[in-house]
Amino acid sequence: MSARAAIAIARREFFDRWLLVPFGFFVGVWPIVIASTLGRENPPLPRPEEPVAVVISIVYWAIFALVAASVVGFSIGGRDLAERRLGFYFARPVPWPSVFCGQALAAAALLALSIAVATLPLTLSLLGVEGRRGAVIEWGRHVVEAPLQFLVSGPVVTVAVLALVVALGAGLFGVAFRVRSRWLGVDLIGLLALGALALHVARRLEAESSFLRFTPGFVALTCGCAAFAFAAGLASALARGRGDALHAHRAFSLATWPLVAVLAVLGLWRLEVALEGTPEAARAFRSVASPDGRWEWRVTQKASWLHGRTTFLVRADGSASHHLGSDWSTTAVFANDSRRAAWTVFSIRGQESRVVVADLGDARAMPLLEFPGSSRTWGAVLAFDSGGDHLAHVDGDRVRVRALPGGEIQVERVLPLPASRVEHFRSLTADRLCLRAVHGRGARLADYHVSLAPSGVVEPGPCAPR
Amino acid sequence: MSAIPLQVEAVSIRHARPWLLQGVSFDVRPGEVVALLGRNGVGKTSLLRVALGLMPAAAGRARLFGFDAWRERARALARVGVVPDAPDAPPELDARGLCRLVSALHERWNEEATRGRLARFAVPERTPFARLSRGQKGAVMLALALGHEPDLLVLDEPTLGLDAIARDAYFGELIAELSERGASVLMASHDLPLVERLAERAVVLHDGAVFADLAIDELKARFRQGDEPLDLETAFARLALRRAS
Repeated sequence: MSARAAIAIARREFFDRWLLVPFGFFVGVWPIVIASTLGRENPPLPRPEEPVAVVISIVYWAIFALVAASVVGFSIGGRDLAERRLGFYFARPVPWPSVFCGQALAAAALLALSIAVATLPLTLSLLGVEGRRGAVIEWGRHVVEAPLQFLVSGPVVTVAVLALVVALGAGLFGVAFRVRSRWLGVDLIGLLALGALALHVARRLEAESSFLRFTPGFVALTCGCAAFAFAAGLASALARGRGDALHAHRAFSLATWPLVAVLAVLGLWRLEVALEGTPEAARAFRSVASPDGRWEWRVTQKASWLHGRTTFLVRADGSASHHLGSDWSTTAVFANDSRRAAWTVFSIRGQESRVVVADLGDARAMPLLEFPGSSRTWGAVLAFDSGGDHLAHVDGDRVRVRALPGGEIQVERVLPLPASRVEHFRSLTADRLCLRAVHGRGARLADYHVSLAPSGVVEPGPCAPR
Repeated sequence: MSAIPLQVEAVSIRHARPWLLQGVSFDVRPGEVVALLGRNGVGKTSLLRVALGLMPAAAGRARLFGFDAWRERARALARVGVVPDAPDAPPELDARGLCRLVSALHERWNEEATRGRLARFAVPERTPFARLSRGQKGAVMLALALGHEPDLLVLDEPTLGLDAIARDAYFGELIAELSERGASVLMASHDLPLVERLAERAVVLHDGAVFADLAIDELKARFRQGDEPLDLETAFARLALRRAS
């Protein structure tokens, strides 16, 4: 590769699109105009325009970054190939990496400079105005620190991700739609496949009650993969097409889509692994051990970049581990003899819940018994009787006791008042339960003793210290 | 490294299904001026693109000074100057800016000679390329192609759209270059009077193959009837008619 040629090409490509930079400055002027107008309309505020301008500037900056990314991506990705502008370089002894690097350098410089210039008017407007020096320093500090500060989470990283995606998408569209060879069909199929993939991922995440989290690592990896696929496509277009639009389009599609497919398969595999979760995950949100210490019910974070939890029942000695799914659930309760565990599972898609009882006697198979839980409340809590052969749970104003292991309803009692939630629930004796119900919207708490005898009643009685 | 400027070895070119050219072979020797002739669409420009490493051949290969034109294009083009059929310089750059850009793309560059050529062609230095006339654009492209003093000059329809005066200036510049440095030239052209004045040999493409690879005089002699004086244009017309019949 010739660095001299790359710099010469970068300089030419940059100056071919230099108007983007003054346009950035023009865009940067508007927040000041808007902020000044808002400032005049809000006289009670001591210095209203600075914070307003900063906020508006960030919004404008974000929009401008996306527009600039699409313009540069479309122009450098597609226009140069479609309009055969690269033939001029390839008719000379310039290696294709020099052309590639020159273009990439020009794109990076254009984007960086125009976006930086977009923040300049506000900075300049605050300079030299009495009492605003502090605001200038604040703004300067903000400009310097913001990218680092927001990299953890926030608008800058979102804008950066979107800008990259927009630039890559614009480049892809540029090559596909400006050249319009028959490989456009392949590109369209590829785009449709990507759309279907995104839909599939969204559905999988919903089914697993999970959300993507744009952590720095996730953003870096995703953007890195996308940039790699696109860069490989562009490099191939230059290396194989050499300024000829049709050959370049063919090379671009042949390089990009298989690479995208491989990366998508790897990404899907990684997602499935993360959705599955591991009981050994570093972050365990909740865990409760069985009374004999042999079992642990554990909820773990799926992955740092995936907001979602996986529930496990694991043997303390590591000999067995059971994946209990990704739905949200209440903390499990264990029977006194540690033979059974029970918990309530909620689906984020609906309000219905179900009660799950695990038979821990068979550590390998661990049969699960499921029956409908509360239909109206989320605060359902469960309790085993002292022998572990009965499970009580609340459904609205009804308290049900089920016999285990069959799960049939043995007794059902109605509370004196409908309860919106049950806060506390435990067995006092083999035939007597105690529950604390929340009536109304948390306005009233009441303790009840529930008799499990066939002719038993529900009567007020102390449950536990409040 | 070979001293032979261009060797085209059994090159085949395919556009979609049908073969455009099949098994085309010829070479351009040092100091030789070779014309590539043929009717429109016969594949002259495609063959030149293969020879310059701008597109791959479906079969066969081209060598420039011994380098594989496709695989080692950058090295192969170091001693080659190219004038494309359509002037494709960046439209916003003027002649001076173009010289600066192209000089950075070559290892060696004769700035003085390039400026001299542009002056002789009377090309305004400060006018963007897009606003130059067709003749001026052609002149700029020739000046840029000669700036690094190439040993092989490849011209694709160099005088297309030029008026008689511009054509003469162009021709004069080429003659000067050839006489001063003895560079080789491969030109594809329909401007047969220019070819006749400049070229020593003609490679005639027809029906996807090399129909004739002869010295210009030999080509004319082949189509002469009796003792009539025959120019290349007439010879080529007779050749085309004969092939068609």
